[in-house]
Amino acid sequence: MKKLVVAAQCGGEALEYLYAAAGRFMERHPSVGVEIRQVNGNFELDRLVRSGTAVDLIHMSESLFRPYLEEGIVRDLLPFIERDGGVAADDFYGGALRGPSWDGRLAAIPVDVMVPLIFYRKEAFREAGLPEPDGGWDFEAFARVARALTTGGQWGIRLGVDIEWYEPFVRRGAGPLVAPDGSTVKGYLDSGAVRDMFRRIVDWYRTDRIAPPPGTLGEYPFEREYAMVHAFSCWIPWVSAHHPGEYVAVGLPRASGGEDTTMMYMGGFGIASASGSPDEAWLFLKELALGGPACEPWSLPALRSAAGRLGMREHPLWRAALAELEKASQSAFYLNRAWNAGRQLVNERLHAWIADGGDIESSLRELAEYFG
Amino acid sequence: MEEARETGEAPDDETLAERARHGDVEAFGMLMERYRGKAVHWARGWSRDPDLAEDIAQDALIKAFLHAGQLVHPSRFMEWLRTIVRNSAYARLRRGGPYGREKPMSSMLAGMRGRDGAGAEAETLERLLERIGRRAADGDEAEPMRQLVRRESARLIRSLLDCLNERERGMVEKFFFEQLRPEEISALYGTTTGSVYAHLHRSRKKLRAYADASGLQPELRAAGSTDERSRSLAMLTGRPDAPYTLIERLCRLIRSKGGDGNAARWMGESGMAFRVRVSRLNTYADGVHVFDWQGEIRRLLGAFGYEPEFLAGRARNAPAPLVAVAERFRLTSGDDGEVARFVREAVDCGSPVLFFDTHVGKPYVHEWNLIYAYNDFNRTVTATDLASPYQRTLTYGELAASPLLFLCRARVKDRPDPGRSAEDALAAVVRQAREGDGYRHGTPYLRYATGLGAYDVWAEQLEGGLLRANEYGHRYMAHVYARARAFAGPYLRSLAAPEGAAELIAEAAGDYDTSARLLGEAAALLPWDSDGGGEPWSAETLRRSAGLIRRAKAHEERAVERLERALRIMGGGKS
Repeated sequence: MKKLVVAAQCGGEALEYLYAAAGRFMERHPSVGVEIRQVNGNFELDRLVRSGTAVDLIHMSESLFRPYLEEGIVRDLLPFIERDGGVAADDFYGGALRGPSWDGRLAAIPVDVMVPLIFYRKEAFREAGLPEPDGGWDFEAFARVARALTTGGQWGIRLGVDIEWYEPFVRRGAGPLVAPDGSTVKGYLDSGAVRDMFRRIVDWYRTDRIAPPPGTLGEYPFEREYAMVHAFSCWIPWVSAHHPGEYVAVGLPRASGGEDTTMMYMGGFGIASASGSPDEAWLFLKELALGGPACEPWSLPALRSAAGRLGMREHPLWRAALAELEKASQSAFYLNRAWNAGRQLVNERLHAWIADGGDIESSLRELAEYFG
Repeated sequence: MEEARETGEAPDDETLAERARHGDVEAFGMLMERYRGKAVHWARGWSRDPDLAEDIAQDALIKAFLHAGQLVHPSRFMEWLRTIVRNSAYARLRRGGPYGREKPMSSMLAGMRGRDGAGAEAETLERLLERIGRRAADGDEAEPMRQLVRRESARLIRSLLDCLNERERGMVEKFFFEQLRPEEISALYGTTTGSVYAHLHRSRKKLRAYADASGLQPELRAAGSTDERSRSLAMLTGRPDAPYTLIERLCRLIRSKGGDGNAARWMGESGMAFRVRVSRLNTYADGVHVFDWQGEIRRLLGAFGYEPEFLAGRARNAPAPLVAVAERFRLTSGDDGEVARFVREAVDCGSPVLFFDTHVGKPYVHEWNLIYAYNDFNRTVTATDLASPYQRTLTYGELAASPLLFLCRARVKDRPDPGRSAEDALAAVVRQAREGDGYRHGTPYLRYATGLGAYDVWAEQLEGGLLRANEYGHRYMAHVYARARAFAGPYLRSLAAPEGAAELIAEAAGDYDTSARLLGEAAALLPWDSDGGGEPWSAETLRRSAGLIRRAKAHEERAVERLERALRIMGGGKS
């Protein structure tokens, strides 16, 4: 009997889902066993895969897709897709394929896929006498609407502070934070357009006062004190269950001529180059992320066909999220490991700008030097 | 780690570079002042030779001065300078081996050993010259041991200088004692750099001959044999005797400096005897290690009369463990010279170095250890280990490449921080139980429960069954928290309290004893040590473990209520 060893970094429901997929797979393929080796985060995963331990499937987070492909730790999955009669590359949502890819190779099949959305409360718009947005808004329109929605007891938008959440706003308004090959942030992060976009975002807190100050947000985003909520698509099942019909979701605003893209979070399972059972590993990957229920209930599916089968394309919130997934692309933290490692340093600056109105231009120059 | 430079009100680099480009010497001087250290740092990275790096940097700064007018993009001054340093380094390295024709004195002397057959005597003399000639920037002045050795070396060399003529003596003094560069010496003497090198070369030969003739060689050898390039401190190795290896290693560190390193007291004072933090994602082990490392170490050492110094950072290109802690640290330069220097300085002063060890063997993932020896020739350190033979050798490179680099050395303070009163100590225990350990992290996908509520999260995860729990993490937490809690009762009993409060504190100590026993039973059910027997990893065992953890929590809840009452009696606690 063959055994597949899966190195997985997930807990809670995601771990349960993985065990369930393993159970289904073993029922369908009685000659193959699945052993799940839990690891806590990329560090433990990295130690495991470099220790010589036999592992067939590797559960990576975004920052490992590229290095693991480049180092040959995982196999390119495109040939598996080409050989497989049941899965086609053009069935993947654009972002689902772009996210785990590097240099024309595919490191992983994505799981736990989510994109940012702006959920708006229809009633808040009605009360303010504003037409509901259709998502085709620019930053001026977005800020104008948010200002109109900001009243004594209500904020226009709930927006947490994190560079990874700001990045799609910046890309849609000014351009990328990092070179396309990830080699440098210089000339990108410290460009004038990016600086201006950061100023605009900071103004939402300091000047426009449409977003609550950092540190004042509760854990639960869908409170009535917010007319609009910047949140990820993983909240859709919750919103659908607890606020049926209350919210509609649209994409982020974009400057005229700005890049029409967004960010996405995802994990991904890849097949270890050292695996002695790559074909069986591919079969399990399909069960886990492409077949069966196709994805965990909080995740966007990688395949259009799966979304159709699950009825997600008819669901107004999921439909908006799938449209975003189609155009999503790799953020800086996929492309540049130092940037990923230094995320909190950047976040410290964001907090300082919002709290004290610090010098954004010199901060960005300093960060560009630091990250190189 | 390179810290961001504070510019204050001074003109920024771009402005200065623009002015320098147009011939403003003062502006160029300001830039050089800012960047000289960086230039040496870069040069050291390329040349791997501290002395050569100085020369490379000097070359590069001169070139930069001469060619400032060619700077096209003032906004990219640093990049431009870095390129010049790199080119200077390559030029030097290309010129026949690592030093080329223009050798630094130390390497020039080293290269002569075999050629003139000087053997051990030449090596001794060279070592003494190197020692006194080492740049002040190395930080030697702060180290009593090095200062002593250096003074002794200088005394011996000075006693030989009579054999040199005035010009030679002057150049030797300028070069070795005043650390002037050959370029500077040549300017003083109105000669060429090559001539300075020639004089230094000739002087060294005369010195050796004179030492031979005057019978000073034995003394030179004795001084030279004080081998400052490898040193080992006495260190008791063996199994850690406290559950938190951080506390245990800190105790050993302080004991090695003659201080009071009592693990039981430190477990209480640090709050580790009472602490619990559990990941909300799974029964992962990481919560055990998630707290403010620098703050806690500083507070703890301060109370015992020591001041810590840190060298910390996270790797640019490798996944770091304990993201909730690692996120606080800057990216490391990966410079093993910096790490070696930090270790060397500590060990030379008789202090081991505490470090976060990501190189431990299975079943550990990472723990705390102590470096107590270094060897510059092999570029290695020797450290305590958690498994037999309880010591291990690491290279400087391995240490510098740690995904989460954290080194700490301690020096004696003028006076210890004021100790905590019994009231303050009890209030801290209560606060930790009710509000948690107070540590906040920024990474949003990590979530932890801390304080008494953490027990519920832990138990719920176990009750979720085999599909919801992490086996390694649960076993590790049970092992650590059970052993840690055993220190809680004795610590509380050690606190002096007035009548009335003392009885309540004693009862609370008893509750903590019971909690420690229950957690110990949970740890015995699923022991962390694979040789420890125990029950199978089954849903039933997890359910029983959860029950024990909930009972432990109930006892601690009662203990905290008693401590709150005691505090009210003492008049210092919250109502």
